Amino acid sequence: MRGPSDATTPSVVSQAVPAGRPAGATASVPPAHADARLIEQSLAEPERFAGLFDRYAEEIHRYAARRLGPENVSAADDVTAETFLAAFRKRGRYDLARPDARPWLYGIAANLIGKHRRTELRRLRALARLAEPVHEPFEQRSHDRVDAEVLRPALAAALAALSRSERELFLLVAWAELSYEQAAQALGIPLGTVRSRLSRTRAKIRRVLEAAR
Amino acid sequence: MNEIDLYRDERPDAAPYDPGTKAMARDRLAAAGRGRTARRRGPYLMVAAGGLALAAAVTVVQALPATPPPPPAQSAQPAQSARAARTTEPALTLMSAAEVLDRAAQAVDEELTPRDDQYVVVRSQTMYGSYALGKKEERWLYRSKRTIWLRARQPEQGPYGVLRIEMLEPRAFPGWPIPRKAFAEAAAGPELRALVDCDGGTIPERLRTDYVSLKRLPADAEGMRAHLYAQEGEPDDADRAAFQRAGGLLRETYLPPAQRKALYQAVATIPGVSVTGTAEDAAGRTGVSVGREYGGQRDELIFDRESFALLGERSVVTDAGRAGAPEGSLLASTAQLEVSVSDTAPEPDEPPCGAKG
Repeated sequence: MRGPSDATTPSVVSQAVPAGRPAGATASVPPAHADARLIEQSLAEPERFAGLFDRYAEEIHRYAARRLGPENVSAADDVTAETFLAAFRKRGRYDLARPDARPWLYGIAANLIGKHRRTELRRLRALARLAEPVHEPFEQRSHDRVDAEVLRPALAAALAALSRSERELFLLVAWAELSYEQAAQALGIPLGTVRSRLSRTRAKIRRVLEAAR
Repeated sequence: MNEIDLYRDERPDAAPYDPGTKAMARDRLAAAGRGRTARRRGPYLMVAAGGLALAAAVTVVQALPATPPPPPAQSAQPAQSARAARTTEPALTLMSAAEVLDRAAQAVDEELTPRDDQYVVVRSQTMYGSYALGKKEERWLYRSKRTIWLRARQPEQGPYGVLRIEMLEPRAFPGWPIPRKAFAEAAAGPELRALVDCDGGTIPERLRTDYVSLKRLPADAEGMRAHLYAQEGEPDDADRAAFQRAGGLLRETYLPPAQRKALYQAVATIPGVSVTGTAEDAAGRTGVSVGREYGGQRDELIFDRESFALLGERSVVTDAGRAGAPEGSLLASTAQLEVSVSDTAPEPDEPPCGAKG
């Protein structure tokens, strides 16, 4: 209530309601470069770390929810909560030279989502199967106007055909809109690896999509 | 076509993040932060088992410093200054929320007038839920005695106050065992914390609760209502956000009489606000409460039946499924015990913002 440094003053309703801290912690949305600063300060004042949650919880949840699907939203909830708790525990090892904490958080989230990969794969395959009843040859449809219902199963099939590391990198770039450099930070791999893996992944996707026609 | 763009364009919709679930996650994180602080400082002493017996009586909670019944002069006991509002004993159960709030608005108190360099001191007792999500999930209700020294005028920079927290014996969250660390926290002894924003900024204008800024708030109901509803972003429940904001202005603050009156009148216009017959605050004082339901809990402001001074706040479960605790259980409870003015504040245990300050 009293601003970010007094995290011990929740409103009465803190447990189930967001407005428990209506704006106390979110009000001053700082630029990304403030992330490192906040993490550094949370070493001395741990409760300040909640500020990072206020900045990025929605975004991380959105990514997890896309990966795991609307029927698994509780898994996305868990991934989000665990991402920030894990980040909190590991904050002492955060590279303070990196002002933007998003790649770090996405890296943790990607790892946690990875634990649900059977769920994710089952889902992608189910989506891919939706394409099968459509026997009409792809060429007979207008190339300019591909129905999402037709396209989406093919996209899902292509994602399911990727390896875990290919899918992780590709979706961080395509869905989370991380730059190559941020994706490299998130996954802890060299930039050169990001480039080569992405180009290999794109070729693979292209082949699957073409085969679907 | 670039495959990356293709997937980006066809990105599936994301299921929304349920606000209650999100708040829960945030609270767990905040609790993790709190636990760390307490451990850092206190010796690990186990509290006698007596605490467990108490814990069984789940219903009693107390909680945060609630509000500021303005105390007369330098120090006042709200319950006693209640005399000020000369009202005959009304049939409370027949009163509407608007009537209770109107009485509260009309309540007269001796006014505090702190100078800019003085501190508003609020003493309170609180109980709130604590959640930990480590190897296994834990829940309990942590209790504390708090005293806050808030500079009457928030300085441009640096600490704006000091908070003393003394943890009391924890209580059980209904259905959950009290973890050992909750007792250890309670045994750690009082802690004096500097209140400061180490980012170098200060509390945003709109959210300040120092005396000087509260005195600048609208002194009419309509203006105050607009202030309560002036939220950033789009809260999923604007009425709830307004009610919460009202609580924020009353909690651990001294709200000058004109603004207090406007506030109570404004709260009476928030949809969903209703009256409860009788409610007890964290200090065991009984009053009449006005509250609003959200997320399976009813958040209430408790007023003295005679003086209509604010006694405290509480949150009671109204929907077991949504709240995760049996209906009627108390998940938060506070009592605001005393509001006074002081020339000085105690030294915090550690320099603000740590060594990196």
